[in-house]
Amino acid sequence: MTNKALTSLPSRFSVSNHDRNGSTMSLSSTHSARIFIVDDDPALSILLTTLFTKNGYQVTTARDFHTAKQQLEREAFDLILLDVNIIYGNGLDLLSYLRQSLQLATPVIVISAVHQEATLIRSLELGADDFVYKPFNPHDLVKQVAAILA
Amino acid sequence: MWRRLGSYFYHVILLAVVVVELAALAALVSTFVFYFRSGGVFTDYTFLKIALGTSLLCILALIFHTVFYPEISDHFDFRHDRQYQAWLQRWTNVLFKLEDLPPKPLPPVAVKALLDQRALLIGTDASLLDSLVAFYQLDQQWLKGLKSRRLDRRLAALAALEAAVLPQTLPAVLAQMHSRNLLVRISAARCAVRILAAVPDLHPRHKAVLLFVRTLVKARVPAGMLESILSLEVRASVPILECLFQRQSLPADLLQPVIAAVGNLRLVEMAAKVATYIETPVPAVRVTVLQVLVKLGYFPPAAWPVLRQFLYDTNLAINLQAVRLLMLLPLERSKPLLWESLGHLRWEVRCETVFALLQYGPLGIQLVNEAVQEHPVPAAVQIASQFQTNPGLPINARVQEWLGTIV
Amino acid sequence: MVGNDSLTIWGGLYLFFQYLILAYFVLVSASYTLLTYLGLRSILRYNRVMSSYAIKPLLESQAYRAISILVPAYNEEKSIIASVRSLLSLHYPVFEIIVVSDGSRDGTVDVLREAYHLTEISLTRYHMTINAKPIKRLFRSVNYPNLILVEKENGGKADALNVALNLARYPLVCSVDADSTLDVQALLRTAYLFVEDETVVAVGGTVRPLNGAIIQDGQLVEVRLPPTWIERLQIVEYSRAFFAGRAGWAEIGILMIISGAFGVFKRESVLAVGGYRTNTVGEDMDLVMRLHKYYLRHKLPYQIRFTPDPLCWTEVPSDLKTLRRQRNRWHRGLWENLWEHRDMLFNPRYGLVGLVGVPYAWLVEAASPAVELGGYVFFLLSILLGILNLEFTFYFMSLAILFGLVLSLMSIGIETLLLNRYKRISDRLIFIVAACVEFLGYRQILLWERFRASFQVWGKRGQWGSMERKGFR
Repeated sequence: MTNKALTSLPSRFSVSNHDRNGSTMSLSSTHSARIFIVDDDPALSILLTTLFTKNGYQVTTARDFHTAKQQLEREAFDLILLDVNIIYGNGLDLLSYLRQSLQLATPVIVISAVHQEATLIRSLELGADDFVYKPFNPHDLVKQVAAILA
Repeated sequence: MWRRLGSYFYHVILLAVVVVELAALAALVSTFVFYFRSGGVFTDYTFLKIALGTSLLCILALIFHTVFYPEISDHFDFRHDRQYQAWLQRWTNVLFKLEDLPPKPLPPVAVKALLDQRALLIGTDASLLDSLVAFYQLDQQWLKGLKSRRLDRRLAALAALEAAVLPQTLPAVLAQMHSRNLLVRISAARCAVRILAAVPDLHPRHKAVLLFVRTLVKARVPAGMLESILSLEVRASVPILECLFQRQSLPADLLQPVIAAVGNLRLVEMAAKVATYIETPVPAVRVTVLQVLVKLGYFPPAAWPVLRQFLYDTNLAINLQAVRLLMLLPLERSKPLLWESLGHLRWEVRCETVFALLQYGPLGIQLVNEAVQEHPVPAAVQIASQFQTNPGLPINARVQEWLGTIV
Repeated sequence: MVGNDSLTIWGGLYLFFQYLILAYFVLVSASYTLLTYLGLRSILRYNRVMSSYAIKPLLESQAYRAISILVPAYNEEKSIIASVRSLLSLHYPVFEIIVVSDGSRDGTVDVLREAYHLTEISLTRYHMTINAKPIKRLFRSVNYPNLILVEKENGGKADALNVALNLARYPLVCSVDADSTLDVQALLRTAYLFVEDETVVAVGGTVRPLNGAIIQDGQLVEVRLPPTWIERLQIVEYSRAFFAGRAGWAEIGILMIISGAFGVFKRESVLAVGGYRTNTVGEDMDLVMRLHKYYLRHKLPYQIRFTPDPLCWTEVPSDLKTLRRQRNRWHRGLWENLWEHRDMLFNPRYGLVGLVGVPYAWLVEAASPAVELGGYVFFLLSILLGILNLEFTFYFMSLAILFGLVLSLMSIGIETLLLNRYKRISDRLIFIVAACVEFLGYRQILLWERFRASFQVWGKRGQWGSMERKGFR
């Protein structure tokens, strides 16, 4: 199972992981990168969860603003996938909370369904690392994530 | 699905209650009439008793409904959600773990899950899901839905078709753009644009675009909605917009969304085309033209002579866009006009001018500082000093938004 | 109800009175039942069409007309910052907020200045399209360019709204009470109706009591029932008034009141009728009446619509004294308006509004306290004289009570059905009980207050009476 996951991993990621843990068999769930997915759309979150779990990441999800906020306060993640539209709030508000109140530099990829420049500009201003529009190519996203984590 | 049933069910209850209550009133009147006829003596209360009894039944039914319906519907919702998520997982597994396909007649919840998943994806995974739509013959079902007399069913079919993007359904979808209902027209137009973006070949696509544009010109879609529809898909919009620009004369309500879409999609190659409309008589359209030019970063030579006039136009939005257009020029050229507009009569223009100056970096900031010292207009000194006391003020995202569309 | 001596004059009068009450009851009940049905049917239909898949593309659209939000504020230092914050976070492409401090004597202006870094700017010319009290100071902020604060001399709520109207520069205006909380999608959902049909000139939203609701970060998270019965009973009233009453009127095209707490108008239409009238306590109803008048007189196509989405939440009085004062004011406002627009009564020139809407308001809404109280007096008198037919009276009274209950329950049903509100079963039971006990005292107290108000209209013209605010959050 781990083997299967390893073969599908982009090389840069596995190298960096290798370096950090000093073992080739380090992709057990405890040591792999932790991804936090904040999205109110179950279709997207199930898709992403399956995709990233299959690629050997450890995935946590949250659907609404408050849960996500609490989760961020409680746990540290290696990367956050953040949808602009979430229940009871706005993904960008969560991003500014993460950057300004919690003072965390965790890489964030913002996902948006709307091709709105204002949103793009605002999220980059707030310190998003990357921006993905729906619909997207899942394999490209995996590469993007790996590149950021590398 | 369940919600819709619940709403019909409540409608039936309401109808029954209304009938019963009107009958109760009739019973009251008739009792009174009998009383009058029999010379002031009440003889028969049967009708009234029945009316009271049935009213009581109505009340019980309503109470029962209010108390238990949410529980029942929560239960169904919960079950539906669980099934939906299970199906999402199942389709995801088909994609990423190459699981077997589910057997043929799909329940509605599976179709919804499939489409929702499809809408998220592009690339090979999306085309795999597309082939599933064909495999399960879902398109026939939706085309039938388009012919339904019920509005909600037609909208549901259009939503499904939009998610599924099936080229063969384009004519049927275009026909819906003439619907009497605005929601249907909008949904159909969106659906058509999505389909156009997916049509692969050059030649059939060209034909389809022509067909779409011809329908669009006749269909009444509000300008704002049209803008967002035209901004949906770059692949579809470029040929559509080109086709629209080639038409002899575009009416203002069509021109504005077309130009706005050029800006939204950042189609720099069309900037010169947009610039030809800079002196269009309709103020709202002119605002859009200027705004799009700013977005595209294109300063047309034709703008220079009219810029001052725009700066002092009665329309505030034109003033603001003039300032932003000025910003595209190097500071040495724009400086005199910007200095002047620092003392503009309108606060918004003054504020925007300072923002514009700040965008120029150190030289612009220096100019703002100079304004605090030596600008002849007190209002200019005032606005400039606000920025001076607020050093490093971020260019607020709200400002961007606020300067956005002014329809 | 009458004994055998019905030949005397008194007996005849007595009989006549009975007929009168009966006819009134039948008329009111039948019209209210039909209205309720029409209203609720329209809500059900709206909800089926506007389910998530239809509303989504609409909400994503960038193409709404810009809105100016007009916020009149008088001594609101406790709640104004929270209100402005919630307004600033509304989901809408382009809007501006114009807060008008109507000669506030507390720190309304100061707290706002501090919270939003507002600086005074020199007053340049502005068009006094509508005559209003002069502006004293104007504040703006470079951090919040879409926020405008105006300080003016005290001139009443309508005057403050007129000043804001003069300053507003967008095609749509939205009047909001300083103490109400808007849903983030409020503007989007209302503005859609203006996009859908060009002839729409005004849209009223559903206003709901905020009491008891749970608010987090300026957003409504869950709706629960408030602790006191006075507040609970008002929720029943609001539910009935908006879902059955206003939705019903809007369905037949003669909505005559848009609540001052939340309403969106075309600016040019409001200017065309001369803005808000300042010498009344019912300026919100007056504006709508004048819109009807204007468009019907000039034979222009127009529509005044209503949206059943719960868009505006407002704090309702939690003690009887304030509540009575509020209802007194409302009833005076109603009378003032009906009197002001008395020429519309049965005037075929004003179409359905003149022939149905206004007569209904006179006969049912304005006159009901007098008639109902008359009924109670009649009932007492009959008991004293010993000429009451107990059996018939029993049936009649039961029917009347059951009728009222059925109408309330129909609206409550919608509430729990569509809006998925009051998730706890205990809340729903209390809600039903509230509807059942409404006629045990509560109704009569307010009836009496409205009756009293009918006679105070002339003495108290244009007087508001203060409302004590707790200041929410």
